Amino acid sequence: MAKLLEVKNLDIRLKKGKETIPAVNGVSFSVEKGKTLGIIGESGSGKSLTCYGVMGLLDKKLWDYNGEVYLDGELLDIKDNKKMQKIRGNKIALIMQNPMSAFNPVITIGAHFVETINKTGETKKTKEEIRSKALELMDKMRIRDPEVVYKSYAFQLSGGMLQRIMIALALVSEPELLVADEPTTALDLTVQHEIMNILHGMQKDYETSILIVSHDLGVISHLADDIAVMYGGEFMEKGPAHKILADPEHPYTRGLFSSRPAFSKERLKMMPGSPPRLEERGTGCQFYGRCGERKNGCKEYSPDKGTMISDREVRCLLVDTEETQRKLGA
Amino acid sequence: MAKYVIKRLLILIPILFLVSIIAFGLVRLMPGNAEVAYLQAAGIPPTEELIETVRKDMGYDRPLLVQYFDWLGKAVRLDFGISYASKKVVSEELFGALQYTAKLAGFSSLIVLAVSIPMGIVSAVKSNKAPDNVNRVVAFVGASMPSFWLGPLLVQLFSLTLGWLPVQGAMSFRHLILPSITMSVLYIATYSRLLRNSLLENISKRFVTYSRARGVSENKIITNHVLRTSMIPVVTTFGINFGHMIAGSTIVEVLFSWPGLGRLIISSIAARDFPMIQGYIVLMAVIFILVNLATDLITVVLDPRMREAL
Repeated sequence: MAKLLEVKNLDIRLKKGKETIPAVNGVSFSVEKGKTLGIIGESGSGKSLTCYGVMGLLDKKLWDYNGEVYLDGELLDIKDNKKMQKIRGNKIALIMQNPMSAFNPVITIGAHFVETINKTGETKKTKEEIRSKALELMDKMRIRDPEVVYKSYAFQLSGGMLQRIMIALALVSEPELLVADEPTTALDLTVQHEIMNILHGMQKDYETSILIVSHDLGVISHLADDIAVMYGGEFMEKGPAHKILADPEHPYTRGLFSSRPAFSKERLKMMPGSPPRLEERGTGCQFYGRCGERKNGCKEYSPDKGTMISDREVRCLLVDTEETQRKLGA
Repeated sequence: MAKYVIKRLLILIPILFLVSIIAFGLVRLMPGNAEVAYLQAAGIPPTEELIETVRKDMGYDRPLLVQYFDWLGKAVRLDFGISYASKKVVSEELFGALQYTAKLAGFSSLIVLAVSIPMGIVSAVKSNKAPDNVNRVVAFVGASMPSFWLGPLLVQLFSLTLGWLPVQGAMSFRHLILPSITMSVLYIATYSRLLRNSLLENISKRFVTYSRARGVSENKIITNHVLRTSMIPVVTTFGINFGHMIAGSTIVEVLFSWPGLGRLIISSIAARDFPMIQGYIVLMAVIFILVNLATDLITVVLDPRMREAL
């Protein structure tokens, strides 16, 4: 399978005075053409940062970031805002979480379409052309009364509606890659389901690759072909979705999956503690403090890469031994 | 929208009624005696007899309520009587002076906008760097400098030392420059800081990131998103302050002998010129209410969220 997006050693650091605090520690991943990679993890694990880093959208005053990002084999200059501007909204589109505050409250939805379609100013389309294009896309997103919506302001519409408009706006350029940062988080359950179906349908129609970030296992398992489990700015486990979902290898992944509510009367299991804040992160295994299976050496465990177990990469000392390697038949 | 405007204009009636009571009452609470002031203004030494005659002529011997309604009845027809001091029609004097004050306030506003908007933008773009720090100091000094001190300093420099501009008077456009600058300095300080903070707040809003993610150019983001939203608080404050500019130009007008409302009212108060003072208070109330209404309407045009409130 051809890789559409390939990210190598993406490193993101928060600037604090003269020092920098690591937030994302050199993660590498790829998204295949027409496939979906889901990044899952708790809040503060660096998922969204990774998305924004790939798109070059991080504020350089706050963040120091490095890494190689290849799109269709071409190296992107993620630190050059001007160059990335041509890629963004063109080859890569973004849909954000909390659509309520992602739209400018003082301009209409229509105006958002106008500036998205006429962003370069090279091929100026008439207002009528833009309107009919927008109405067509909104219709595809099953938005009722698109004419009314076109003239409306964001604060007059619901979150689910705005999220669908965001997808419509992303489709303007028929992007090769769609980055979806917690696209369903602020929405209620039925709307969540609808949005996931729309994303799924869109992928079929346009062969778009999707990089989706969520803390919601339901969303990820519904959409992703591959999964990366993120914790403390690192990928704990990465591999094909069906394998990870069926048989999580990393203690953190297991913990995450077991805290998922099921329709049973059993009390929900909970992982003790919460993810370390940026300042609290140590070297060694990031999950050390909360891991129920930790042993000697875990605290210092910080390999350059995880252990490969067939097509899965796991970053855990328990797996990184000759014995387990043999047992798993790597 | 039209309904809203009509509603606001209808509210004017009870407000003006209250204002008329206050205007009438305040003038009568003022220390000093109108009859004496009237005679003195005419250069006649006040004697008991003369005061009595003047009182009768002016109708001050009637009960207060009768006096009030007599005045109100005429005021409704814009007839505020004849000034004791100048013997001219009050409404004509007031409108004449208003023109000068409006000229002063209008030109000051132009200066304020022309200077504070670029200053605010530069400060925001280079926030906490040298240009912003310079602007911060300038704004701080500007805001702390009273006009009765700044005005003479400007006169000293531009009129007396350099001889570029006239000291006082209102004959030509050149006479307008110094008083306008004196008046605008405080507002420049306020608005440039207000705009800077508003810009910085909006530039980190999520809708800006989302615009970038859609590939919108940086220039378009600044004009369509950041500047547009940041101008809303500036316009609102500006509208409120415009009323203050008209009512608060007194010091500058006295300083530069500018024949506006401020100077007129100061001399009228000194002369216990009741009809003039009463007319002035009513006029100011009307101006304030209309300027506020205009500001509200502009805010509604700029900020669609406000339309919901109508």
